[in-house]
Amino acid sequence: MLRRDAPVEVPAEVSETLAALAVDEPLPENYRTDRVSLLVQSPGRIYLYWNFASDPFATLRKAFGAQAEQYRVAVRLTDLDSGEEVTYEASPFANNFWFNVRPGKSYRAAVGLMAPGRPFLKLLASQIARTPRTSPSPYADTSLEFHIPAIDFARALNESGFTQAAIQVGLEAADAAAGPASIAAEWAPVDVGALSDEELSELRTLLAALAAGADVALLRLTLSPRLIEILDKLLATLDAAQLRALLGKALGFEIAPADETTVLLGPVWSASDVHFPQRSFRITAKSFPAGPSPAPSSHTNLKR
Amino acid sequence: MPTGYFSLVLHAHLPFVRHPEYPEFLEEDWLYEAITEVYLPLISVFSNLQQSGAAPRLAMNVSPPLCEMLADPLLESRYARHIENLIALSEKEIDRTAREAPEFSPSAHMYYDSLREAYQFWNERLGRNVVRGFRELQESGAIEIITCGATHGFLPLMSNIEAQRAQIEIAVANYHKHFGRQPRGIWLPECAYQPGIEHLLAASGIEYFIADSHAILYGDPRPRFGVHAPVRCPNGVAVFARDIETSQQVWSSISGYPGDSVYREFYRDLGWDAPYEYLLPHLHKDGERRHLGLKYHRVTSRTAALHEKGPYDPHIARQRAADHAGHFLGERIKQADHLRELFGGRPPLTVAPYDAELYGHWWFEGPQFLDFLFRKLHWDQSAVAAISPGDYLDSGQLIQTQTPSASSWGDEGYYKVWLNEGTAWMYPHQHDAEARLTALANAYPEAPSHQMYRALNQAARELLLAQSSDWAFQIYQGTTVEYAARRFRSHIRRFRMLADDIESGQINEERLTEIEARDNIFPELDYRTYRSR
Repeated sequence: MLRRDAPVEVPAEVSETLAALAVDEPLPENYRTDRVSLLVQSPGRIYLYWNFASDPFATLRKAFGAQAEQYRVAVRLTDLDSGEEVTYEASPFANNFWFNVRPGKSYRAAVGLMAPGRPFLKLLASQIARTPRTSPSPYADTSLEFHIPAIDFARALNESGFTQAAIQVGLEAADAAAGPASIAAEWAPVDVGALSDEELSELRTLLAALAAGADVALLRLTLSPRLIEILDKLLATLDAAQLRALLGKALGFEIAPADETTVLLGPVWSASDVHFPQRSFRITAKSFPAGPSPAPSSHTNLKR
Repeated sequence: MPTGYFSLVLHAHLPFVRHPEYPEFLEEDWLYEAITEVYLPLISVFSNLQQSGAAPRLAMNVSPPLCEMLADPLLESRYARHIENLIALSEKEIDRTAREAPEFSPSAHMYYDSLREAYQFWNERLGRNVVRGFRELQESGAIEIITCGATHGFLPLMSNIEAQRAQIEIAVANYHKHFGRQPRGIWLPECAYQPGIEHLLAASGIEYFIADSHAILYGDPRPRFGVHAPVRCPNGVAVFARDIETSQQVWSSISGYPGDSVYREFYRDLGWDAPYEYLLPHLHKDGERRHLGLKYHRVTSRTAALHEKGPYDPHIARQRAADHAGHFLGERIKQADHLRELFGGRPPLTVAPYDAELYGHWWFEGPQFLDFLFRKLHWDQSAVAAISPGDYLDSGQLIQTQTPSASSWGDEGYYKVWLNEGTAWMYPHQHDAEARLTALANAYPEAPSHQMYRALNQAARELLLAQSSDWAFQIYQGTTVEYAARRFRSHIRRFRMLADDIESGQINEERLTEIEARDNIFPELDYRTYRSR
């Protein structure tokens, strides 16, 4: 049991052993154990690191001799939902890799060796990493007490400053009101062909993101190849302001740039760098009440 | 029945900073400043509210590292030295400002009076035991205290369930020690949630946790009441999520209250303004200028440079705090009205989590704001009622079942602050230590000797201290990068020294004793928490 009843004062002389505690040395570069880990950073990015207990090329050289020189360290990422695999060569000096991925998906990574014309030699396989969602669930509660119609949920999202999600769910409400799911394709003023339910959902996310002013380069990283095609068609024919006007007219919203008091630039105080949703635009509609009123300042005289 | 409910949740946490190997240490000042500017004022405000009949009924996390530091005799003695030094300086300031800068005299008197009152409150009323102050508030029914991760470790980035579980179990045990009961709720460190964590919480008897907005808004199925009612995970643990509107009103750099022109300016401080020779007796032995907490200027405007800031008037600022409390309450009433309509008549709950250190340290008038707010909530209206999350769970309201979405309250809403190009290097070391400690705990269901038991426990302490999410946060923010990185490295190194000793069967007693004396958090800890189950 530690003694906690008296303060510890520092002795004038510090032994060699204790002096070692004060030395700030680098930590080991290699832990001499096989380890691989796949970590989620964000819905669009995951991180892989690995460690080999021993040099894999030493084993390779014993097995293949000079042919071992053709091999390179490689990482393979598998999308467990679609089965899609992609393989990248890794730097011979690095033991980590960043992947751009898509939200709401499960992935597994492997580290191995590859050579031209040869199969990938898997050496280490990671645990499964699941990327978070960046949009609301497509499912409403089926119980009477907790079911929420899409238009009401859009309003609740807007109340919380999740404007992009509110537009997306508003589009869904419009779909439901108009009939077959394919109606959603009419909001995109390009020929999108037949879309699956998942692709329609992705299209709504895309339209909402564009209307809310999302970064196109970042948006592109989250889309399936089919939706990237649609995105490129949209960008060729419309800008964000035109799209907002079209969507607003169709949905009965006004999607306008937010005024200064509602643009959140992050916290002014405190150690935490707290997340605020992007709120560059605000939605107004008859069914959506006005937002908060400004705080009193030197120029107001609020009496209570 | 009220139109709506309001639940303030304060998160009081500092990383465990304690350096007995030095006579004084700059980073320990974080604790001393927070005691003077945040914890004592909040205890005082909440006590007075309770005594006046206006119980605040809020939730407050007092994190395990903070509890341990507040209860530490060395840090207690150093705090006494810190505040006595400030009182002495503030007494000199009364004379100096009267002679040289009368526009600062009201503030000088304010600091002298408030520091002496704080000292007396701490020394006599609380018996130098700040944790006791919080405990008494809970026992009197004024507030609900919740726990946090043992060392504020970022759970989703830990490599094994044993490490995650240990953060929760050790925190709950520490809570029992300080508060004499089971915690009902937990502030997940950084509000970082991933599906599955709720099982660890339930196993430790936790009834609810605090999360960020999109944990619920993006959860499955869609939340009927948005963030304005809790949800329950399928295993029964409830989730309360942050309301963005109330966050913005306090935290936004554009429209938030603390940026008001009459409030005290944080970045003008006597420690930088006064003549050096005058200050020298009151600085640390290194003679470096630093923030002292005696500040004489007001914000003046968002665009005013520091040298353009006007003098601070405590009386005008106090009145503004009252105005803002009234405004905040008015907005809650308005919000409750239209949300109730949206929710088919069900009274909405607005959950407002903040760092406790916002109130008093960063926003000097923050405790006054809270005092006015809770008085107004209690005496001036009945539309909105202040409750704690535990009160809500006790009310019998039906709660929707949902699987929340992975999230955090950090920048961009996920895990980027803690895992990025500047901090990724930490995880191989942390994960190796996690795996190794689990293996050691499994290998030693009983320690073969008392010395080995001490070594195993201390290894667990070093891992816990390395896991503190504060280090990665400070590196990402670019604030105290060198200190944070050194702390992480030193705990990993100490862990490795101890683990090597344990595995070899040869414990270096001198080194073990010294490490125990320095990193003495959680004396009640038992390494077997890390055993696989």
